[in-house]
Amino acid sequence: MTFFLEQLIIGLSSGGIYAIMALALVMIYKSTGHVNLAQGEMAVFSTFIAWSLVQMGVPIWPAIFLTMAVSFVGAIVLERVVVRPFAEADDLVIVAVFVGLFLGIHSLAGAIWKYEVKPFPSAFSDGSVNLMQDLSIRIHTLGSLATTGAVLAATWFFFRYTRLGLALRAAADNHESSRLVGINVSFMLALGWGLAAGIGAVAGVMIAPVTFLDPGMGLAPLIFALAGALLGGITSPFGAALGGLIVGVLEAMISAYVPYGIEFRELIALMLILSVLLVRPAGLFGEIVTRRV
Amino acid sequence: MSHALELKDVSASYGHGAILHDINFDVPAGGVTALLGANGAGKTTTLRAICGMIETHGDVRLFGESITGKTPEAIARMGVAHVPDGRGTFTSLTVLDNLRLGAFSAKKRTNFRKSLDQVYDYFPRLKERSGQHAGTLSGGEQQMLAIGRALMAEPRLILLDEPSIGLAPVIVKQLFEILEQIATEAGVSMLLVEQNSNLALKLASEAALLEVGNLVARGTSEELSQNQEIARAYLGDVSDTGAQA
Repeated sequence: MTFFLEQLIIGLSSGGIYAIMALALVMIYKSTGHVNLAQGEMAVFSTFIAWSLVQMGVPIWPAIFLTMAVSFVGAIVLERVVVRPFAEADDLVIVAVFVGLFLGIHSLAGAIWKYEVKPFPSAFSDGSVNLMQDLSIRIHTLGSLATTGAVLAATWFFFRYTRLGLALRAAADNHESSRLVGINVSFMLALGWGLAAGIGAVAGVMIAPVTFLDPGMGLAPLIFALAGALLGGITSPFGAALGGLIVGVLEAMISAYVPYGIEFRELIALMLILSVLLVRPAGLFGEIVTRRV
Repeated sequence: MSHALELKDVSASYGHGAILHDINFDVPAGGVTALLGANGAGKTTTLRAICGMIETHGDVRLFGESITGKTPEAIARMGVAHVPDGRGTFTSLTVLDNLRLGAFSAKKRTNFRKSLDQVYDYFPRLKERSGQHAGTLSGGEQQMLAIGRALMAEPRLILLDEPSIGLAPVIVKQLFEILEQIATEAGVSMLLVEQNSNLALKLASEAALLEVGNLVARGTSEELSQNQEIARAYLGDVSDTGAQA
């Protein structure tokens, strides 16, 4: 029982990271219909920025907030300069643009920070707490879980109760009607990128103390986040986040209980998810999107 | 006479060949003008040209100020509310959020509550459904929502694109009674596009008739409905209801 609880908490903690990444994916997907394949690389790049700031002597929390701000602005510029010119292009062209972004950011991170594994400091204190007899959990794990909760709550509040959040939801729902009520849709699309990068940075600095920091660390979380988003429903921000959590728990449980689980956890998790999608193509909480032509 | 909207030699295209050719007409301040014509005559295109959604040449003036070439969002903020073809509902959002969006570019945000009460007053059904996803509304309710959304902006001019389309006659009758109230009580100027010319001419004081992208007639509603030639050629249903006499 203790072992199970331990796995559950570890699963929820890494699932929380996938949840944040899934939320970032949904933010761009909802308003443009495209999956940002470079989301993971962007988060890694952000994490390297945070690492550099820490190396320069900035305390970890200010470094995280500064990184979020830089990522926010950087992604807006990226959207404007690299992605926007292809707004009207075919889907395959856009996939190529995203692959290009993926490779470009990956290479840039490698060029600046070198392809070597670096330790990344936790934003929380070292050590662990005893939750009950025989069950001790690292403080970082719990802190990461709490951070996920805070990010999800803040995002929910922003979309539900602010004027800007309403405008973003409107722009995601219907570009033309949004413009007709006076919303600058073009700005909203860029803002979506900024927000996605800002919260993606949080995912990066939460996972890096666990996996260590290297330019290649973004791919696996991106795949799990995408799987989570598809499982929960990529049209529903909180469905996607919940999907991310489920994927994290699945991953932990498969590693713990299935023979050869550690080696095949990605594959087994993906197979389970695909089986669900066979029954519910739009995901557990998603809506089937119909597009007017 | 002052004009809410003036179109002078307006041409418009979707990128491949012109759809509208040198259109001229106007909407008097506080008045209703009906824009009539058969399917494909260019009525919807005219509305899209006015609110900046397509490439437009010529001169479009809103209360004397030129708005040609401005973006749709800029024109919306200047007080033009468009009730588009297909109603433009934000389907995944609630009815209340749709109405909040209508007020997005209202000049005075403090008037939100007042505008909302006014809209609920016109359309009590929207109040009952305020928490519901707008995509689940019936066609008539979505049309009410589209008009309500337009009113929330406290507009100076409302562009209505075929509000009667796809609705049961009894709903259409209610809707037009409310539109008449809005025009007379609130004094909002309107440009009404309709295929149902009988209905439109009752509400409007002036009318213009489009035929394949050209303006072929304009005048008061009375003049247009009494011109037998026009009535027979374009407004078939008018003569059926006794306008010949």
